[in-house]
Amino acid sequence: MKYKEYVVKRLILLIPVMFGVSLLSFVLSNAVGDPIASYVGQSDDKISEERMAQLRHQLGLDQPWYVQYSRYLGRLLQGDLGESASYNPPLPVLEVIVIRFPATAELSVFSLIIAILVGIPLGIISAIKKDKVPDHMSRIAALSGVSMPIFWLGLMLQVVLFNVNNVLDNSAIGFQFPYHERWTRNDYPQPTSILFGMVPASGFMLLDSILFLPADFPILDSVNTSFLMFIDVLLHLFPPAFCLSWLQMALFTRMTRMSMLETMRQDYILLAKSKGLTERIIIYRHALRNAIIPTLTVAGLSLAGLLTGTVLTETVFSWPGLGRWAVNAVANLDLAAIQGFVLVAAILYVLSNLGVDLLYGFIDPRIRYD
Amino acid sequence: MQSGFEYDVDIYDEEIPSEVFSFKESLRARFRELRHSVSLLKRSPLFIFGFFTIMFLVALAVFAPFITNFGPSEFAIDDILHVNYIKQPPGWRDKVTKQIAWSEINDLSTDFGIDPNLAVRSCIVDLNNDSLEDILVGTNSSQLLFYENIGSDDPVNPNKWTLSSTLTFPTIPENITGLVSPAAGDINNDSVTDVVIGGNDGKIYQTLNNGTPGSPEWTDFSLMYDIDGEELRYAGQAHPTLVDYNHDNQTDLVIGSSDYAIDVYLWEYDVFQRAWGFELQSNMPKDIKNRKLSLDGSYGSGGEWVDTPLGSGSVRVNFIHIKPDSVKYWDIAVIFDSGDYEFFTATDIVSNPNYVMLDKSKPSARFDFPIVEAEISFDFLFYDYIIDVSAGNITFETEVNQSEFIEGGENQTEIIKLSRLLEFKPGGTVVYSFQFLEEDGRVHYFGTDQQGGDIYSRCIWALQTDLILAIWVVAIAVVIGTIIGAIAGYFGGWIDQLIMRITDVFFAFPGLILAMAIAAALGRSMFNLSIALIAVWWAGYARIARGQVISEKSRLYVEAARAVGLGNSRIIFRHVLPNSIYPLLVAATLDLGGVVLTAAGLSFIGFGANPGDAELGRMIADGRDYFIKSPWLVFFPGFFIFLIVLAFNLIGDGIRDVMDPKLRR
Amino acid sequence: MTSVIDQDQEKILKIRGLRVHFYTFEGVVKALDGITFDVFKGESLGLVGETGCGKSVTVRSIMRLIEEPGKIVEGEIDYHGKDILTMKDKEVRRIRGKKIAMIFQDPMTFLNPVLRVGDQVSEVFLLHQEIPEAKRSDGKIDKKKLKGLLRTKVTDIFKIVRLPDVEELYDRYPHELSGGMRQRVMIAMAIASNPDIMIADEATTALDVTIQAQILDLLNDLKDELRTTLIFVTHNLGIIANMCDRVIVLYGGQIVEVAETVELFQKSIHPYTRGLLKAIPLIHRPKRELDAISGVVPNLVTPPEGCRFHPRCYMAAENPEIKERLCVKERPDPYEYFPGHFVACHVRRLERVDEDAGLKPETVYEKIETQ
Repeated sequence: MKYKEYVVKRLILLIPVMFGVSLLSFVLSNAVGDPIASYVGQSDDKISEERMAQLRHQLGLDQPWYVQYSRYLGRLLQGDLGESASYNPPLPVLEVIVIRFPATAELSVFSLIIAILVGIPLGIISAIKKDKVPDHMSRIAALSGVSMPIFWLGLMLQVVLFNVNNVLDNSAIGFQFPYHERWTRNDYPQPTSILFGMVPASGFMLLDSILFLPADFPILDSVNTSFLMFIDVLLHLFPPAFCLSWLQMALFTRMTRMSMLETMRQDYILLAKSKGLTERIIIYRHALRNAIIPTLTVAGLSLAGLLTGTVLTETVFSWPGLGRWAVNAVANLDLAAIQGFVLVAAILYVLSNLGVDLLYGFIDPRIRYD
Repeated sequence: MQSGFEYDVDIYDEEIPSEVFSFKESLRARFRELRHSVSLLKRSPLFIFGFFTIMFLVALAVFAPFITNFGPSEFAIDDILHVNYIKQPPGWRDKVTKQIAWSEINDLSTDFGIDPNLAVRSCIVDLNNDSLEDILVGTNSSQLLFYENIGSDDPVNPNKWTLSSTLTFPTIPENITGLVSPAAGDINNDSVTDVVIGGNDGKIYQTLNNGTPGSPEWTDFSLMYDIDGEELRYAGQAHPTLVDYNHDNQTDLVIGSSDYAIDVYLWEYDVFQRAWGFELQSNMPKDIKNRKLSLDGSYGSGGEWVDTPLGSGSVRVNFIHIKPDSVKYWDIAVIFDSGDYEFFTATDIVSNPNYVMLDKSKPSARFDFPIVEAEISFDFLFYDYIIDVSAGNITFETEVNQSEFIEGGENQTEIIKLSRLLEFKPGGTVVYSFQFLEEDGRVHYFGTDQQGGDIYSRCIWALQTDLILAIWVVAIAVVIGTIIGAIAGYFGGWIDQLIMRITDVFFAFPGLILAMAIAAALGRSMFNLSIALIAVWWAGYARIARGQVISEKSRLYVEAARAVGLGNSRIIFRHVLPNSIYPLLVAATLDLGGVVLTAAGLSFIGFGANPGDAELGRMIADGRDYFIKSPWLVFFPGFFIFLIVLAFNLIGDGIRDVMDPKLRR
Repeated sequence: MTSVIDQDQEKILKIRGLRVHFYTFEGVVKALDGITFDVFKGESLGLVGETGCGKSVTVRSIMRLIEEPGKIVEGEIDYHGKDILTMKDKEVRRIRGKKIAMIFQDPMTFLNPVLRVGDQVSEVFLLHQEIPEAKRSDGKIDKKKLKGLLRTKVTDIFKIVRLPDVEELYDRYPHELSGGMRQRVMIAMAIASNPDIMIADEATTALDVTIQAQILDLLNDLKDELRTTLIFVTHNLGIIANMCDRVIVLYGGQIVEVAETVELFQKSIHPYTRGLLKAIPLIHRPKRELDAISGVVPNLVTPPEGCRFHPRCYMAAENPEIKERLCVKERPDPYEYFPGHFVACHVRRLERVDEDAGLKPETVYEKIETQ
């Protein structure tokens, strides 16, 4: 009962925050240049003053700001976020988000998985071998991770892959590391499955490549094609995901190490030792379970870092996701797109924070809500 | 058992509360705490390392004028490159799309007056530097003919060729008894065009131009060698092409041979050698590297075709830009002697493109090539022309590229030329180099960048910029945040509620994204960037200050001050804040690294610093076009960012260790 | 219930010159500074002192449970002829929980919150007892059968420590139990493998008074039933009086007095022990000022030279000459004041020497108020 009340309270507290977020994004995007200019297109386009005034009136830009804002809110509630002028012809922002979100989500989720798979074991090793060589190594790795400008890491990664590629190529191994997307999302094949017929593309390339089973081919060939595509997508996904996961990996390592050490200092570990249990059993049965809870819960919090990271990573690797769209939108003075992106980012961020808080309460029943 | 009560001897255990009764004593207690913490910090090696790194970086920044060889915006070869940055007005956007349409083939053989029994290979080049395209023709009677363009401004038929008598080439080597395949380009970087020919003896010969574009002086033809000193030799006819294959402003050599191999000889230079030090008078420089051009799917790793190609006979290569949006990449036409061809379009990064075969019939490629089946051979030429040479018939086509501008929704058709491959201007093309000594003796420790700026000096100046930016941002954010937070904490009630809801809104955005939105709203300048960063960071300090003030205001000395009748602002600023400042300073130190990182990231994606400014993130963004071949352009600025942030994080870790009572045990 | 210990009784533990240091940011904390004592088989021994005097450190070193940044610098702990401190880890683990078991102070923090209490107890059986019934004919262990056997064993032991509803209890998590129940679970864990020595480290401090009495009762009964040796660590002199045969008084990492319980309460000799006893509030007496020992507990990073108690010692203050000569310079060695009654005090030793020489006998023995 108390938990439910707590959830409701947290949800109610969200309302003013989301209101403020919409206001802020409205103010910010209206401060970017002249909306008319962006609406018309090229700024050196000559448009008569009357036409400008007419357009202003049409768009309601001659109204006071609060009227404009309330209209904006009204549209927002109907799910109308305007049209992104970065596309030609302009696409509705919501549609762009729907199109581009899978790319970002795929990248983020994949890098989160890498971060968890590498970061947590590293943190555990670090805690177990405290003040020994592995600990120092992983601490240095973690520190360098949180200090790394990831756009730089991305570029350096490309240099390294390029050279590896050249070396392998020259030594006639013939294996090519891909380091750049080969398909753009516009021209990659629609998944057609033998079993299900035409399947709408989900936008998640890993998924689509598995579903892609061209029906005209013999089954073996089509499975083979699908598999090759999957490997190809995976190899293309890996470099940017690795780059993006670097920071998260560092955070997970540090967090796991800290919470492991904290747990190892707990009294029940002492009791376990006094029972005569071996170090192994103590770590894996008694300590790990307790240490992993905060780490996993806070994994949700790292979504903010991922969102920030995607902006830079997608720019460096030309990944067709939300982040690069946002950077382009700012360069192109695409008001609606900026508003849309900022809103989406804020909503994702706030919801993930909320989710983490709620999850924490769910996992650990000892927490009380007063 | 009679134990009904406790004999507790722990009565000495209760710590005497350090609740202090006067403001001064409270400050003194803080100071003691601080001194204790500092003495502990001295024993943390990580902290010491971070501290000295920061001190070192700060010293570098402070003494920048004395330790740098070059100013922040001093570019050694700026005037040669003619770099001028066009600051785009807000709202500028590139909406140009280009469409290529190929027109019919014209037979120009009569214009050239060539013996119809000859087979020829041709190459287009502006050899006399008059901005009109001339044609170099090699015939199968081992001749090299130069047709000079004496065309006029006639828009309908601008080109007119005549066999030049003023320009004579040295004697063709005796070994060549048949067809000559000419190619022209600046192979020794002296800004005048040289000529390379491939003969039917399978060897490649070069003649270098030691004169000026107006009055050339050709050296005798000499054999070309590869990096290992072996002469370039092919089984049958070899067809050279000169092109800047990897976009490093150096002419590279691509050879299609009769055994279907396509070899790329990249012009490379040793990083420890001076870039201009080639001694090229007789031989091709040694720094030519042999690599196989991998054509996806059809060219195996072992060097042989996996599938039998369509054509037969020797293979030739031409490079053109077909994809309208990617002038950075070369697209390749591979032509077989059968007259058939394959067309490949580049899909990968500039210097090491992967090629994907283009479907000739695919309309989406916006490319409709005339298919010539009956002819023996034909060439694709650089600019806008297709020339077809078959047994003396020269078919020539002009103005084949039609480009379309789409502006503001209205269609305009305009004929443009695609970008030039090689520019033979006086002064020449400019290369960026990793060289240690400049002519005037000033040392480039980290090499130079694409404009001839000294990377070492620019890194130091950029370090200064970034450190000042970070300190300024954090200082202002602390002041603003503290004032607002103190007001919220001291007065409480609805003011507190309102301010905290506002900080909630600011916390609802990921930092970089909020800063990006604000910086975009304000426009590109360092000052605006700092405003954006302050707007992101103040909310955190406001929360800390509020918490501190709330805990501090219940202390006795504040009660006392109020009892004496001191005003609110005096109590806040004289009594409460000085006691709360310590945790704020710690938080501020921890944030400096984050500010540097975010500022550099924003500069990288185009906010804040202008192109060419000495700012670390901007330097990386500027070097991005060349980083594959010249990683140092990007490496050093990035490494400085990394070092700053790492040092601040180390300090932060040290402080956190000391602050953490559990670790303190 | 108390009885005079026969000096010839078997010594189960011999602790010699135990020295434990903690290496902290502030400096080296000399938590134990040369502790020497014996534990006799079957006795119940009390360790008493203020917080931070080294009681817990002493008993934890017996099981080699000193954690970073602490370190056993020196000493010898002889258990059945073997030195625990130089044993291999494997051997120590065989002793921990099986031969020497420990009951800790706070039952909330000492039970693992994410494991079922039954499972936590069953670990001890799994580790220290052969369970031949679970073996199948081919020599492998039948896991299902093993689980069932463990469950019965655990529930049995739960019954011994007088826990209710043992079947449901097995599957409960620690936070669902009351403080007394948790403490009983811990005791169950300790007695599960029928240890030689049970150490109760402030086992009842965190409980309220009625539960405390029940737990003490239980411990007493178990000790008699199982014939184990009990080492009882507490700062509560009342518990000592009720539970222990013999008492060791610690101050600042050193032993100041060792005596049988009755003797200690009736004729304590060391000035610190006297201070402790005087500070006890007595329920049947009219209100009076408690005589607190003046001064504060010494900082063990830079402990006082010589006798660690001398800055607070009234006897030293009364004998400035001895204080100057000995107390501030030399560490006092335990001196057998009466048979089986050791005292580490320069002033007292000198007095005793004087008394042996027939001088000033009246100052030696001073009647103190006890209940």
